[in-house]
Amino acid sequence: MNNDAEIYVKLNNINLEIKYFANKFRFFDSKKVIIKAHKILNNISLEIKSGDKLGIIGANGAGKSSLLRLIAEIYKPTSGDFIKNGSCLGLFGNIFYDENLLGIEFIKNSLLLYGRNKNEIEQLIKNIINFIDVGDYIYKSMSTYSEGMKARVSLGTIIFAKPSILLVDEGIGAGDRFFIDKTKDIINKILYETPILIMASHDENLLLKFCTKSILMNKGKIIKTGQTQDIIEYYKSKEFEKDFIKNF
Amino acid sequence: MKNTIFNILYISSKIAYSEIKVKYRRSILGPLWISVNMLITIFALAIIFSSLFKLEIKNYIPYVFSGLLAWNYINTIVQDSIYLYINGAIKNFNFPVFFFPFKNILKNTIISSHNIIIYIIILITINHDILNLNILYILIALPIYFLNSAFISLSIGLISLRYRDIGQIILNLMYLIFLVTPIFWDPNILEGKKILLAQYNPLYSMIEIIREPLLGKIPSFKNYIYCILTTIVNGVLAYIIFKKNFNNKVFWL
Repeated sequence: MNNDAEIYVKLNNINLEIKYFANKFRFFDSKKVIIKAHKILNNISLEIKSGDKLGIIGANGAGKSSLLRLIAEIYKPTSGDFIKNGSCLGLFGNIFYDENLLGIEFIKNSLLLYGRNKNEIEQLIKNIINFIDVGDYIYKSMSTYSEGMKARVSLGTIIFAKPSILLVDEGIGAGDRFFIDKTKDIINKILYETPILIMASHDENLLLKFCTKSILMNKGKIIKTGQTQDIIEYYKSKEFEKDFIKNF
Repeated sequence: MKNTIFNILYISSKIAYSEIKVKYRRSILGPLWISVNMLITIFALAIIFSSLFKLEIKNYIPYVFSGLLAWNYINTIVQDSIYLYINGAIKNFNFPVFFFPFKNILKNTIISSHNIIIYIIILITINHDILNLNILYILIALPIYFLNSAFISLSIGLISLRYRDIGQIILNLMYLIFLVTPIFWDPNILEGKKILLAQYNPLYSMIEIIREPLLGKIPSFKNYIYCILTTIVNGVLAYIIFKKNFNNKVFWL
């Protein structure tokens, strides 16, 4: 784990643009290929330090998930400066490169990918299995898992890997109410202890609970930054609705 | 995670091993099924082509077995590369550049090593005279194979992710290449300009640097030169394709 003082994420005038073919490349369909450019993130500047818990709010397609994926280095910026320091993991969805793996194999392999060594994995695995609580399914192929069980495995593996920078794109509310009741204390503890938490969500309560600051995004831009309560109120206001509809 | 080559190799090998275990779970023979399939092909080819080419079966079996050993490795590397990045996982995690290529190499190396053991057993049984220390020349071939496999995995993986037709073209080409490359037939039967099929076929040299040591011979210097040139070309192509496409790969899923 990195020293807390050194953990940060800095984005300066970041743009993410996709150039894509309007018509898919076909050998026997010789329609003209038109290249379009679509700006996903527009001039994003952010500085997040250790201890910050940042919420990302915005309508669908506003760029919340893209911003998180850019911080996770899954997307590379087209222009701008991006630096970060600290181990960074994102809860975006499944990373099941092979669904035939057993649950336990998947957890071990994922922890390896997350940079944990053999001893650390041995120590973590028991806690993760207890947390996930899928019974004997842990020794069954992931292809037999329900979507809820897969989400629990992803959640458990990531939060117990304890990254310095944790990126959450929804997903914290995974599982049934019994699972949520049983694990809420562990999740709360780990999320509060994580040096940097960046969470994109439509769940107000979740954002208010964990995030002190928030940003509001619209059409790939950050349009407001402030206290989570204020941002949520603005997001729900007629004023934003008017601006949003006008801009859309 | 620490993105050092050794660290990625370690993780890839662990994951490759668990994937092989998964693939052959609940199977009695496991990866040995590949060797069984190969043995059946070899004996079928040996029966037909040894009489067609008028070769002694005890010489033809090692020849075709060693050729197929090398070919199967190359072929599975290419085939698995086509689907290397066509996987939703790359949208959700920043996998190291060489994670998937290394996994591909290690998985196929583990599988191929089963076949080498079977080859040596067969050789001891039918023609142990050709087994000698020249087999160690295989150690020179291995880094050439691994480098080329890494480059090919990266290039084919990215290109077939972007253009889904490319994978199908490659699959068809591989079958054609198998037929025109001297794998189960002897290049000396070619006459005139047809001999160029063997002489200037880079894949033939690739096969030879594995086959010759397995037959107790030393591969020719020319073979090594062709292989090194092929590696350089593959490396340059992989670099160009990587530079141009790697950052955008997620958008082609």
